[in-house]
Amino acid sequence: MAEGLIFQYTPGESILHRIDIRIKLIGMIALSLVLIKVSPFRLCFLLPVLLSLDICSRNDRRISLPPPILFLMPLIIFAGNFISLGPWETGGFKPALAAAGFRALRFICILWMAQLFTETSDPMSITPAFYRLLKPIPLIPAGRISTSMGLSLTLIPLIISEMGEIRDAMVSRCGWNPRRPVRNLTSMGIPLLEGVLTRAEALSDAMESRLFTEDATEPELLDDSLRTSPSLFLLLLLTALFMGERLLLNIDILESFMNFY
Amino acid sequence: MLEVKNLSRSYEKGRMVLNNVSLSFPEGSFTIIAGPNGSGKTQLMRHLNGLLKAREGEVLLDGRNIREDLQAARRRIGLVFQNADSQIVGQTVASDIAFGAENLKWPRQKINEKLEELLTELSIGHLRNRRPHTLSGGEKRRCVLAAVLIMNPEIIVLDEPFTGLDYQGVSDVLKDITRLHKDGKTIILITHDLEKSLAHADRLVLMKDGEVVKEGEPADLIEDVEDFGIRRPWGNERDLETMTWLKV
Repeated sequence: MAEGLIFQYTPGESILHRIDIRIKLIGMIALSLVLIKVSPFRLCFLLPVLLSLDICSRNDRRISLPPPILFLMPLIIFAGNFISLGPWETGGFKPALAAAGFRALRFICILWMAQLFTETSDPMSITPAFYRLLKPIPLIPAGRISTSMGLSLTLIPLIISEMGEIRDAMVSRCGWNPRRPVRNLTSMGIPLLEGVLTRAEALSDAMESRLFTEDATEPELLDDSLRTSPSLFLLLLLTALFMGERLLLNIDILESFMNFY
Repeated sequence: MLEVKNLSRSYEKGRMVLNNVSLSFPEGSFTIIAGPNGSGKTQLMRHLNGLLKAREGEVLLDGRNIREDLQAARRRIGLVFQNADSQIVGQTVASDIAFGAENLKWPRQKINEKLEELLTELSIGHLRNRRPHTLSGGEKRRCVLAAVLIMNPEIIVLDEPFTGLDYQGVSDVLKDITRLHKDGKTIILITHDLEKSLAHADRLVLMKDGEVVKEGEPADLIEDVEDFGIRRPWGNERDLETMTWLKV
């Protein structure tokens, strides 16, 4: 499999590469929480920020579009929301389109953040960083969660690659019909699911044979990265967002925190 | 010594995937278990490390049933699965190799020392920060072999380790296996491709339909292998010593 796939680490020296992974994780979680509420203001506020971060993270300063298959999920979200909200609930065709569009856009933002995070975070440090972040929180199984996260990050590129292979196999046997997306999706989804489950079972056997335990030696955090300035930037960004919402839309800050959906 | 006594397993009524298998693997031996697809080789392997619980019969390590202390047995018996991709846990070669040692709760310094030692020993130091799934077939096999070796097992079971490898890949993996055998490890190699490695084995076990049909020295069994669905290495007059892909 080639290096440099989507959701894979690309070594670099950009600011985003040098930020402490824990700050990036906190930032990603905080911004995802902010996006739980589907707000055009929040989306308009965050999109330029994400675009700037994306440009900063690129070593060659070029923006490349992710593979089209990644837009499938936002497309499903858009269609699903449009059908479920419907013009009869939102009071017209345009409001329904806008509401479904904003929800799909929110998903794209979350995917974009995940891409920026994985692209600029050394995989060797992600699991230890997550472990250190969770460890002080009582009753949270930090070992289990960080291992699961590490495994997910390992598997995502493999699943995407497998999806591509199944699609290519379907195309080569004339089984991919752009006019029948639902049929394509079921034809691709079933073998993909089977493959993922088989792989998960084999992985679990391999972990068992290598004595997996949650009480293992603590992972190592190799770190000489930026902490203070990115933390301040994140704090300022969130303050600006809530203040902007308060000033422009007259929404109470406390209400902003509580109003997720 | 590892022993398998009267091991049987069936999934469907009447269909035995393992039928009364009894074998022993003396310390420091090099055994090849050969058989056609579906002969029960991989099922047998999964019992050796306790991944599958024996329904009938038992697996003994130094005379004790492995289920009495599964952790100790798993540390002493390392499994290298057929599909290297499905046993990679870490996000880099180094973190994947360290996984087993971390589970043994070794101090970090000891893990790092052993890791460095293995990376040098298997000549994969240049791969330490690579993502394992992006490696070539041969590199992946050596990475998963290192991941098992870090736990310092005495017995190493390898399931079809040459599948899908090119000449160089087979040669590299075989070199590591023979070196481990010379270092005193017990090797159990599951394969149906005898041509690549038979010269190094001191024992050959032939399996068919879940049963051990023959076992003995490779020289005594080589003429019979085709009767049990295994291809005899090419050339009737061929010496056993030439049945290797390792450069002499």
